[in-house]
Amino acid sequence: MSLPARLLGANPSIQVSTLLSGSLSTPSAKGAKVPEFGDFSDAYETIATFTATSTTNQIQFSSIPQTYRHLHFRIVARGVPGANSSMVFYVNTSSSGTTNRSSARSNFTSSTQQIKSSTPQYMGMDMTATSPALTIWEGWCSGYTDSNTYKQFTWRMGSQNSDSNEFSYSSNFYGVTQDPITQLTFYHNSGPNNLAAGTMITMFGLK
Amino acid sequence: MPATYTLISTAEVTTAGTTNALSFSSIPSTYDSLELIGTIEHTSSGAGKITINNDSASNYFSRIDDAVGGSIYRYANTGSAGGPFTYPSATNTQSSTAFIKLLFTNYKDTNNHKVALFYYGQPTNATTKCLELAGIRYASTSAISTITIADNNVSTYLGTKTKLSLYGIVNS
Repeated sequence: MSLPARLLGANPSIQVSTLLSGSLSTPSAKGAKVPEFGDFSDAYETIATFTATSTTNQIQFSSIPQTYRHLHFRIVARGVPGANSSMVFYVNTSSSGTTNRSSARSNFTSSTQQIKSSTPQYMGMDMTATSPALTIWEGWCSGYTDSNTYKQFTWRMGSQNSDSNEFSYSSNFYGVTQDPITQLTFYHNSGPNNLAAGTMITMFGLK
Repeated sequence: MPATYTLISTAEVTTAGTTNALSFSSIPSTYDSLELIGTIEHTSSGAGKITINNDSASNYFSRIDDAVGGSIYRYANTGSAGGPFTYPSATNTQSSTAFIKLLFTNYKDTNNHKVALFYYGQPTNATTKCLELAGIRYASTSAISTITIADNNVSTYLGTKTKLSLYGIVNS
């Protein structure tokens, strides 16, 4: 089931949904104006925030506004007990099996890479699954509105707990579509209903 | 409340085969920090570099962590002409774009060397992926007024998917 998006502020287009419980807000979107040199309008705006209030299947941002240059993400998350796998994401689709995703990830002790893989887009190493610990990420996507370019993401994450003790980076290539990014879906690599309450994702737009 | 994160300017390659560098010049001294974010498309393998204030002398020091092709490399540049910023195993396709981010926290300081954090991700669909992280020291007490991102080879052009944004951050 999908929760209806509760839309706030001046950004009626963005929708955030989850298959279980959570709250969301879309506090601001100040339009498509691109500041010129010397324009002191603020370029960094919150597009939407999702906070899980109970176990959550996936978190999806759809109808992402096309009025920014870059996207920025801040995430805290935890797996349900026993689920200390990676956070992963899809672009513009929730389907799996497409064999054109590549990534590099490293904790600078070891490094792995995937080449034209059908595996999910791993956002660094494993997250914790022990309450009340959390794992933190931040990430970027530049040029997400470009219509003829495969999209690049960069993530860094930190997790310090007995079941997940990592500081890692990943760089992800989404070679499935060159279309602008209008939808992003985050989920737990262990499968449905593995994101614990307290998981929070905020998506920012940079003008 | 004043704006804390402001777009200063953008730079992009609009015509293929015309330039191997993009620069931001006359950077205002009205911010506390600078952040450069963007996409780079390189058209051949090789190295890129960051130059500050058009200074080509050996004033760039860095500590670099690279994850390339499933291996880890850690090394230091001591007094090199240009910062870090490696382009490994690039291919001349649109899939060879890379993500770049630079954070300068004391760019207008005239008493100390300038420092920056550097992030670079080039996953692509080519054989070799790259992650690169670095701490950079520019050994000059001059304020930063120009930042240039370039291919190390002057005859290697940047592609038209190269788009950079420079932001100013105010500590308020």
